[in-house]
Amino acid sequence: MSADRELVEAVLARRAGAFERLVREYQGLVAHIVYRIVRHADTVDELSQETFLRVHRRLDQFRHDSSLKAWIGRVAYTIALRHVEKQGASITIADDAERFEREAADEDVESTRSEQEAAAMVRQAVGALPPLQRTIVSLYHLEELSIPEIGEITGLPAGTIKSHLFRTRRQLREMLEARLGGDA
Amino acid sequence: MSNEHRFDDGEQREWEAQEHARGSTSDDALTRRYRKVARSLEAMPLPSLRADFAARVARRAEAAQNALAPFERFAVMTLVVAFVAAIVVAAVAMNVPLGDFVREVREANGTRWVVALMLCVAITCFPLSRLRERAG
Repeated sequence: MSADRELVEAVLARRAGAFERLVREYQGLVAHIVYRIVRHADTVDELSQETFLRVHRRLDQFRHDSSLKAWIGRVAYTIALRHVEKQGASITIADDAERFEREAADEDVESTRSEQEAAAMVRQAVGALPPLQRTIVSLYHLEELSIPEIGEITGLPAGTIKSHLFRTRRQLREMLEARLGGDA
Repeated sequence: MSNEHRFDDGEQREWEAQEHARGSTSDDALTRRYRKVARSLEAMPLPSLRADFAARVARRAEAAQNALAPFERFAVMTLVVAFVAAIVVAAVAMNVPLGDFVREVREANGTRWVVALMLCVAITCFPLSRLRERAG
């Protein structure tokens, strides 16, 4: 039996600690998806909780026709997107998101100056992307999800994901070349 | 409008450079430039949740599940009591002994009673399922 199936059955059988194990396993992915869409650090905890409570309620509807990771990711994506729609587009670039990312960049002492500069520029550029493109590029590079898995989460065809990835990375390369010149 | 489009030869080469940049150590100029993009993307910070997040959520989920169980039992009991009471009240109102009333109901068109009973059950179950959903 696959690890996913075993975990789902344990949760449905209400085995002690099973749901906590599921949350621990996927909380990183959920927080990541929520954060990339809402860009508001204070909301990440609340919406991640909402995601897992919905997962808990609807786990009996999971049919194993996709990976559990993609199914949970889809729930997080839907909840975050609905939150953004309710709040309006004004929250897409929040001050605390900028601060959070700056602090994390300061911790990266291993990077060279030029790499730090490039990383900061890319972070800023990714932050300015529309939520969908931001989420796609981030899930592909940071969570190392495959194009079909991102398709299951976002509900988009693989070709569309590929186009978004291609265009976004090309934009980022051109932006780095323009700002850092031959160094990029 | 669809965002899908077919890559031409140049775009296909560029796509391959983007993909190779994630792993290979190729010295191709385009791949090298995309490697910088890939490294920058991989260096983006990830949000972190508090250490007790999983335990907190598990407690909330369990509480939501348990909270409704006594209410559901109460609702079912209420339904049974209301059903019996309705038979008794109807019998008293029609001024017939309870045994005769039950016999009359049995001899009347049974289908209508079954449909009525199913409607009652559906009307009771619908708000219960909504409550369960909200409590989760």
